[in-house]
Amino acid sequence: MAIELHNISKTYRSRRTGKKTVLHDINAVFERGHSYGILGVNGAGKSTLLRIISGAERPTFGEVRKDVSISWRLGFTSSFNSSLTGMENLRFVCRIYDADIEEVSELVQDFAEIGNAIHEPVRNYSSGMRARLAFGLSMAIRFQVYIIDESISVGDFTFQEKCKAEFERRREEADILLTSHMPTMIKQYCDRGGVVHGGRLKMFDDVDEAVDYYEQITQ
Amino acid sequence: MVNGIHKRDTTRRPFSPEWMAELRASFTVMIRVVYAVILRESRTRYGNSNIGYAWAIIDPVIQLTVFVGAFVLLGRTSPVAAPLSVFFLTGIVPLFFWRGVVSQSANAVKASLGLLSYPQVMPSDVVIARILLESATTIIVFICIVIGLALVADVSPSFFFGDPLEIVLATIGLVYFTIGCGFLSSGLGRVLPVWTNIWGYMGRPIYLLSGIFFTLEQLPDGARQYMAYNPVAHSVEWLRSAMIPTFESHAYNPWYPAVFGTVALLIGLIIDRILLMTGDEEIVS
Repeated sequence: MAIELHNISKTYRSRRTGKKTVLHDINAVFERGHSYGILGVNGAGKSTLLRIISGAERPTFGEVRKDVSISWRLGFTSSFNSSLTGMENLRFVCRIYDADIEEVSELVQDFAEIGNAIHEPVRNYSSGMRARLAFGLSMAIRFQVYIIDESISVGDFTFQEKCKAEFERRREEADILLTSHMPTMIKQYCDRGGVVHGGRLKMFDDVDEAVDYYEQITQ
Repeated sequence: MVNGIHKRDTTRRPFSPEWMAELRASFTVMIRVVYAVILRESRTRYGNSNIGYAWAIIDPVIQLTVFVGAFVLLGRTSPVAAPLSVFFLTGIVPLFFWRGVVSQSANAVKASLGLLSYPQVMPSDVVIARILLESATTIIVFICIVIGLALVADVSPSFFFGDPLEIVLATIGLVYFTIGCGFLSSGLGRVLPVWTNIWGYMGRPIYLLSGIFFTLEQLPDGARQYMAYNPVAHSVEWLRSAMIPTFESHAYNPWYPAVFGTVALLIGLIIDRILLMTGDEEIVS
């Protein structure tokens, strides 16, 4: 077992638009040793599903059981406190994940290429710098499963290449859970797949079957 | 899957070794998270202000000076057989502590939505961290002012340490009552956005009615009857009675703030639990 979803439903309540159920009764198992790609058109509920799996959000009903460490969504930067420096944010993340601050800060400084800016408040960062810091951090803290929402790399072109190379190295030990609306990307990185459609998730043991099904329903 | 569920039932049976191990593990994580949040909050608590933490001590010192000055100018004497500064400080410090915790808790979760996207950070961790930080700040501020008064105004610190055992009890009472109010405030802040405004309006009357300027003991029966509905006044009076060696009050009931705090704590925890179960918390995406 790695990650199990039991009867997950998610309903959002809004004063203006009323109730909206995004996910209906989702059951799935994500086993260790496989990488999973979730396909779905925009607005199908892919991101909600990822937020629930990563623990950033709680389901309305159902339960997520996991016995692996799961990353935050790759490149996700909203959890940084903008009045604290990059270093202070890094220390905070190390503390809550029980990671070695010294080791992680060395790796991140080496990888993220933000130099002395790491001692500046995050609010002075460009969005690219934030994303590089977040990406570097998620590589330095060794997660067993990486959660990726659409894009695998951040920053400009050269940095994107660096992200991909680093990511390939991490994949030797770690699995990924990737969402995309592009079958080619899923095929490149994943061996198993699923499709989110109409708030329901259909899982396939083979990524090609998932892609076929996705192409069928989006015709 | 049947196996999985069966296994889960045995591991979750209360007080089984597995259950205890799980409890210990989540407790370890909680301590780690609360510690990390305290360090983080201590850097952001006073925001961009350059004097930063100094404000925590300047604020009560200014109030103390103004009150003592006003009473001296008006020619009024201390209602207790101790210097005016002792009388005011023993009222200002607990009230500031209580008020600080309630204010800090009211927007604790809203201000930390980014943090809550880390699965191990729970809303209650942020509230606990803020309460602990406020407690530590209060103790340091109190000690600094007591030392300051001894050096500057020649007020003997012994005026603050009347009955040690009673001080410990009164402090525990105040802290417990304050924790309850903090959790209630955080719960209200999460379900009613207008709570922070309501709390803002409540600030001044509570300030006047909590016994900074008077003791419950000295009030006429008629006034005391109404004042006695305010649990803060009981807590302040209790602490004052314990601290000031020359002052003994019989006008407070230590159980009132304790019961009030318990009810507040339960309501706060229930709101927290409901929001966790329904997953209705706003999120940062």
